[in-house]
Amino acid sequence: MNPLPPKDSAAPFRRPTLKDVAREAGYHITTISLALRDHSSIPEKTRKAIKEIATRLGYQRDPVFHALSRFREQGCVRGPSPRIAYLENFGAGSGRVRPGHMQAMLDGARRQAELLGYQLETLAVGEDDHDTHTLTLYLKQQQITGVVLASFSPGFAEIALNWDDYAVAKIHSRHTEPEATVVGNDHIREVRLAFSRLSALGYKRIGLAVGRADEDACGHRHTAGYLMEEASIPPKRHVPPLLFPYNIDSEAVAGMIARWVRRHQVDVVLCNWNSIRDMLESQGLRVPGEVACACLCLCDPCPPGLAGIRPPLHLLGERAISIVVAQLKTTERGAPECASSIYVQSVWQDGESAPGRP
Amino acid sequence: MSKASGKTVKALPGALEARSAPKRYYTLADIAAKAGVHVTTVSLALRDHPSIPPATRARIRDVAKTYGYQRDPLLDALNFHRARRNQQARVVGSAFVVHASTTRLFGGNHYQPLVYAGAKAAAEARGHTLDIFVVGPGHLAPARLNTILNARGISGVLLSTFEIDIEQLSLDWAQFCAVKIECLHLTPHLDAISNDQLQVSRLAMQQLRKLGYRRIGLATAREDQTRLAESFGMGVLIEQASLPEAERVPPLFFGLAEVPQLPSLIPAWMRANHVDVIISNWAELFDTFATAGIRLPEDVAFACLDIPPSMPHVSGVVQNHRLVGLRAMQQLAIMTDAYQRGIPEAQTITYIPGYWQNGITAPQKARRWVV
Repeated sequence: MNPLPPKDSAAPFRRPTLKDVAREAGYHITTISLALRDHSSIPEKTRKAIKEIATRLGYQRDPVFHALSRFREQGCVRGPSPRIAYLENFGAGSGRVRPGHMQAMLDGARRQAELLGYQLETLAVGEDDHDTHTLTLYLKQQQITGVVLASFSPGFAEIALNWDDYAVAKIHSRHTEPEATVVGNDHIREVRLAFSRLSALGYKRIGLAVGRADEDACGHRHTAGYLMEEASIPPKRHVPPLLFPYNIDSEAVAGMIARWVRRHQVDVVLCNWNSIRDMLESQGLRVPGEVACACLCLCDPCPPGLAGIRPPLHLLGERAISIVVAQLKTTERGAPECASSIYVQSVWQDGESAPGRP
Repeated sequence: MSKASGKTVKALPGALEARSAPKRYYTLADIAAKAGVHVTTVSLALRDHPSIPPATRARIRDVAKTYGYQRDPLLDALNFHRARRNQQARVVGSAFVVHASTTRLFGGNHYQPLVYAGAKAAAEARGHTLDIFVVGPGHLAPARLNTILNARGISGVLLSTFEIDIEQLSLDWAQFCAVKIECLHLTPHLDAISNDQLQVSRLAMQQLRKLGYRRIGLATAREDQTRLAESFGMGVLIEQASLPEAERVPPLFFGLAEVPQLPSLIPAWMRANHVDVIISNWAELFDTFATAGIRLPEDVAFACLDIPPSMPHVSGVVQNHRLVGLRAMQQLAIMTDAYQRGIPEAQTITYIPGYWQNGITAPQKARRWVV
């Protein structure tokens, strides 16, 4: 005989139902249902009393169940799938194109959402797109309660929804609210992995060049990994990391990197921009003859022959969706009391931009 | 005649179906009929269950795709709530596997019971059971554990407290959904849940600076540094990077073999570096302070990086061991529901933050007035 689980364990959280409200209020369940939908057949005073009780008990109409009952009423025809909002702030409304790494995340998120039976709707946040007010209205109108903040860039538009109404997860976006579960690639380990691989290849003066905005969004984890590696090499081989400022064009960045390479005799540049090789060559530095380079975020379309770290970016999207769906299923809302961080591990890829040195 | 035609319709349901409009909504049963297998086979195949041959799984997936069968999130959510209400209906067993050399961690002041309690609570909330299995010398051999788990139909495995000298655990991983708790060094590279030691040491540094401390020294075992991917040291290093040179204290890393010499090592390091507060994950340092005649907080203040539950008066960071267990089990439950067995294509690690606790071992530093 199979033993039954012990009954005395703590009762799991149960969401209050219409029945609970009915019991508390002393009306029939249909009265409650009508009252909460503001039906005119129920006296206004009663409606108000019932609404107060419902609020006190924490009764909330759940869009997932709402859709389910609509589906049952309408027989065997499936209603539209519930949606999850995928928010981005890179400036789609101002005509900017989604960068390759964000496209990879989005692809993973979309696949996972569809696998779990949801539709993913990308929504742009920005000066020419949604702001907090219009976004709140739109989500409410469309009954969207699951939200992913996808790799928000610091320095661009931000939003402040009433997070307690939503199931939410973030991809990077550490600089902005809410304090929700964060999914990211593990920059500390990536920099350390790249560093040890480049050391093994014979490089002596390894320099880290990353954008300040990227650092703010990921919690300064590139520089953290670099500091850790630097601590184990003699001081004369230290190269101060180069952090380029917010909203800077790639030509200016190329100039900064070239000056820094020459000044500190960097023999290999570790950069999170895919265009690192072009930037170096545009400044008259031969790759890999004068300086080698490796990218910390290889993603397709990727310049051929570029060495570096290949993070499984599609998994970031996938995990973020899984987290939101798990919350939607259990009707949890808002940021958790203790927000955890989830890091996906990456692999190194050799390339002719950073060949072995004699 | 109307009677007869009624019978005909009943006997030939296919005829009616052929006349009606094409189906817009396909269920598992429809897919089963099209593929010529039982409905439970379809269900298992679409969830990639290993009991269905790979070729059959692929064929059924193709059929499902052809008819546009899609998993329904509404029914999914409904099932979840039904399962919670009626727990007896579906009992899933999971295993909490610990190593024989670490059973001591279940007694006294150790954190292991907290991790287990968290995992157990999460398991029960979902109607899973969670049983402890001990592997290692004098207990189960891995192969034996494999057999037992199979015999009991347990597919979910949580691995906990495998210390640094245990490099791998050989189970037939393709059969199991598994999540590691800490023990990041252990192969295979399964998904793992861990305390965020990096955040813990950074938080301690930040809080102590707010309390007025300026020469903050980290003391920890070299073995801990290896085990935790150097995260305590890294946190200190990151915080020190933004401090003036004069306020950066080099950490004291000691070997486990050097523990008996700590009563002389610690005072020497304190004096050489003018340490005003020690941070360490070793609550055992209280014994060292007593032996060496160091008074807290007069001679030096102390903040523990992993305050045991029995020490509510100590300053430092409380690591959320219970939440680690809880999250590990939640993730395992998601994996068992989706039949995600074996070693993942890319490992993910989830970090749980700790929180600060004020205590008497590191009081607010009195301001010095210069006359």
